Amino acid sequence: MKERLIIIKNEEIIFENKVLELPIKDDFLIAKSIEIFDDDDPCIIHQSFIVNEFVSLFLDLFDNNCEIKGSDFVANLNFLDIENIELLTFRITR
Amino acid sequence: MDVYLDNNATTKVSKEVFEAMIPYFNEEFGNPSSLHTKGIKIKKVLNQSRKIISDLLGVNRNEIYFTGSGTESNNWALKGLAFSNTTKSEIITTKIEHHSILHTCNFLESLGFTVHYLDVDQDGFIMIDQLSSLINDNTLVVSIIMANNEIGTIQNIKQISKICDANSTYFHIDAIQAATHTMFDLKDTGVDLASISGHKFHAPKGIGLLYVKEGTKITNLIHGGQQEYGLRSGTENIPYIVGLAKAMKIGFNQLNDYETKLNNISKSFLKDLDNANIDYKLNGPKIGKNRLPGNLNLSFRNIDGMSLSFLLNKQGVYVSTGSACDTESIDISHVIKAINIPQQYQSATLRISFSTSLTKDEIEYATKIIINTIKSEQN
Repeated sequence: MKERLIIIKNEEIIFENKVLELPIKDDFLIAKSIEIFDDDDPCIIHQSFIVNEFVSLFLDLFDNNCEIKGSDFVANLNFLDIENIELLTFRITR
Repeated sequence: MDVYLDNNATTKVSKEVFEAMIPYFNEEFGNPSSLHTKGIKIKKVLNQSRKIISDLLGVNRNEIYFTGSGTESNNWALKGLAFSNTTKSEIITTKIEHHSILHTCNFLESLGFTVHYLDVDQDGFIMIDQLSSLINDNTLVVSIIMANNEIGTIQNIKQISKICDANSTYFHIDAIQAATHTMFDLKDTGVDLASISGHKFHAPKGIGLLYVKEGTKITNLIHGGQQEYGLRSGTENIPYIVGLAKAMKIGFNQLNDYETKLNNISKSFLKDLDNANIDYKLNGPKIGKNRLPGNLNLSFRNIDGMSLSFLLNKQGVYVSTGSACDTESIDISHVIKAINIPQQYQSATLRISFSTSLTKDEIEYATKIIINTIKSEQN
């Protein structure tokens, strides 16, 4: 997961970092932890596993493309801790 | 395809061991302390299991004490000595011990003991000169991990034993990762105490033992009935003890073939990494008599270890990372820290531990997945 992620809103870059730094809502992290480990208070290593799980799901949406529109995946991206997903463009670089 | 390459973490209970245990769950369920036919029969099974193990280890029957785990054995060895020998207050161990030793030492430090943590060289071998300079009349025990569970380093136990003997100091070995994986005869090595755990060699989890040489002054951790010569109370876990004896017998009988086969798998795997131009570093000694068979601890340059392990898991290849869990951050393990690997290799360490039951197809599949995943992450 070496990819870098750029998030663009109204032609302005609002996020540029490693894809593993993807901002994820806390309640989604906890829900996923309960789903995978039945643990509502995961340790940092388990949290890291969960982040990898979300990032993996996120990367699958690109399906060999390097860019996706948030408007096409609003429901799939509801775990992201960013507002107005429908206005965003996500670009992946290596 | 699923390929389990984490046999240093735990092993599958073998078919023979499982079948040997089954009768003692429901048909032969007596309490060995009961003086009736059901109990007496089980007492005999308990004694026979203890004899099988003591013969394999080259020690006396009354020197083998069954415990609930390797961690319990390690705790008991150090606390049991510390609580019953009040005239000496120093302990020597290493920086690359399992947490069941390190955290027990931390606890004993809180009670006033002084603990010295030996440095290790880049392959994980202890500094013998440092041990010789630290050991003194006030040293109660030297506790050393015989085969390191992360990097596979097998220490020179006989040499350490001589130093302890010359200084009238107890010598405990954590042989949890070593038993049945490398040859050792407790009598020959001259150690005073040794910890062993069943689940590392195809017995179930929840059974271990502590060898305590006759004459060693040690006190109970668990008080109650007179089981285990009055030193470890609690009704004996007969099915698991039977499983432990069976697994140990199979393990020691197969040892030569086991070492050869696993060393060949390891060498072949490293050759494949080399042929694929993977940038890696082998942590611990080179494959051979000083390294745990089937253990490879590898660091890869500029990769995130958690992600690498996650990606391998997604493809059905199960390995361990060298990470340690802190409350706030993911840190590299204390063992990897102690051997001082170069900074750029510290972020991704994988422990791959093979077993003899792996098929050629499984090894080929796992090798291909590991190489492709690392290549994709390193590019």
